[in-house]
Amino acid sequence: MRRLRIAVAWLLVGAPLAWGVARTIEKSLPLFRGAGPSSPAAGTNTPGALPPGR
Amino acid sequence: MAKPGFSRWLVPPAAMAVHLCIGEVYGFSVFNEPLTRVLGIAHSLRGQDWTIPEVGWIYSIALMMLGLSAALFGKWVDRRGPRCAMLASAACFCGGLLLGSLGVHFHQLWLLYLGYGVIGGIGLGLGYIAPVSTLMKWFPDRPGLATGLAIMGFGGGALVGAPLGQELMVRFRGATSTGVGEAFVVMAALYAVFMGFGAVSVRVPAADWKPDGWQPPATDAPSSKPLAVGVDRAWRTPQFWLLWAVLALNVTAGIGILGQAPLMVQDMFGVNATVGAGFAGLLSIFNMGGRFAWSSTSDRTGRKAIYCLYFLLGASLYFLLPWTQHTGNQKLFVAVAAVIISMYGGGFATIPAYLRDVFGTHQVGAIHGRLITAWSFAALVGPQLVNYLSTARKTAGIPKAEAYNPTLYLMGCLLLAGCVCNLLVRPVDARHRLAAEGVPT
Repeated sequence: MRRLRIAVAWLLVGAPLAWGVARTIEKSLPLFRGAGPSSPAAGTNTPGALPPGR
Repeated sequence: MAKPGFSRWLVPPAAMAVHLCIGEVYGFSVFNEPLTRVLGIAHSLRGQDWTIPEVGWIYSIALMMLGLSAALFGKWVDRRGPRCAMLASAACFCGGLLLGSLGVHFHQLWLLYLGYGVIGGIGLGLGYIAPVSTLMKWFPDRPGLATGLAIMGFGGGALVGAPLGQELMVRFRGATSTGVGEAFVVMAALYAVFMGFGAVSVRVPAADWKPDGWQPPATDAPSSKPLAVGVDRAWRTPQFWLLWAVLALNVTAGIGILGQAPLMVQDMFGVNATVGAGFAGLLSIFNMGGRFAWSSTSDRTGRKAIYCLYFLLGASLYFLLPWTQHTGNQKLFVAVAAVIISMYGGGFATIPAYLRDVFGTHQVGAIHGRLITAWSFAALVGPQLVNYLSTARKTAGIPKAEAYNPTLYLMGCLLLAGCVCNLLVRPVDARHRLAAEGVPT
C-alpha cells in the first residue's frame, strides 16, 4: 500500500512533466534536421523557453 | 508531523507538485501577444488594446514580488511549516490567476498587475521556499538530491504551463474572446487541485528523525554548539554575501545564452525562427535536468567542489562557443550551450544545500528566501548587459554572427569571478551559532 501511494504520487507529477518535455522535444527536432534559411517569422512563440534571467 | 512509517519519498512529489505549478510563470510569455488584442480579438486595436511593454510588466512585477516575498516571509514560512505556506501559496497564485482573468474580462490592466503580478507573485515566493527546508530535513543524507527534485519542478513549470496555456487558448478562442481569461480560470482550478495535493501530502519529520543507518557527519568546527545560524545573523556574515555573489554571478552568466537563445542561434548560424524557438525549448529541458543531475551529484562531490566545476567548466565552455560558430558546427554549439545551461540550473538547485552546509537547517528556508534577492538582481542586470553589448556591436556594423562574442567572453569572466567568491566561502564563525535555547551568543 505504501509503495502504491508513492508510485501514484510520482505518477501525478511525472505525467504532466513528461507531456511538457515531449512537446518541447517535438518542437526542437528541426534543430537537428538541418538548418533552414533564415526567415522573418515574426511573432513566433517560444513555448517552453524560459524568458531572460530564469 | 509525519507518523511513524511515513515514507520520505512522498515529500519530493509534494514539493514538485507546487513547484511545477508556480514555475508556470516562466511560460507566461505565451499570453503576451494574445493579451495585446483582448478588444480587437483578431488584431490589436491601436490606442485601445494593451501594448507588449505594458503587458510585459505583469511578468516583471510577479518576479519582483517572488524575490520580495521570499525575503520577507521566509521566517514566517519556517515558523508555520510547509503545509500552511503551500496552501497560502496556492491561494495567492490561483487567486491571482482568477483576478487576472477578471482583468482580462473587464479590460483593466491594473487588475492583472495586482492579480497575477502582486498577489500571484507573493504565491510564487511562498511556494518556492516552502518545501526547501522540509526536504533537507527529510534527506539529511542527500540534501542536494532533495532540493534538486523540487527546484527541477520549478524549471519544468514552463514546459507544462506554456503548452497548456496555448492549448486552452485555442480551445476557448472565439469571435469575442482570445481565450486568455478562460485559460486563466481553468489553469487556476487545475493548479489549485495540484497544489492542494502537494500541501496535503507534505509532512515534517519528527525532530529526532533520521534515515535508517545514517549518522550525522562529525563536524570539524571547533565548537560544541550545533551548526544553527538564525537568518538575522546569517545575512550579516561574509559567507551569506559570498554565496549571494555566487548565485548572482551564476544567474547573470546563464542569461548570456538563455536570454537571447532564439535570436543568437539565428544570427550565428542563419537558421530560421522556428529552429531558434526549438533551440530555446531544448535549453529549457537541460536547465530543468541540470537542476536535478548536478544538485544530486553535489551530495557526493561537496557543494564547494561542484560550484568550482560549474564556474570553471562553464567559463571554458563560454570561451569555446565563438569557436563553434567560427567552425560552423551547429550541433557542437547546441551541445556546449546545453551543458552551460544545465550548470546554470544546477547552480539554482544546489544553493539551498550549500546554505544548509554553511548555516545549518535551523532557518535555512528564510536564509534561502533572502538569498533569492540575488536572482532578482541578476534578472534585472543580466539581460540589460547582454542586450546592450550585442546591440552596440550590431549597430557598429559588426557581422551578426560575431556580434555575440564579447558577451560570451564576458559571461565566462563573470563565472571566473564567481569561482573566486566560491573559493572564499569558509565555515561560519562559532559566535554566530545559536545556543541550545536559540539565542545567539
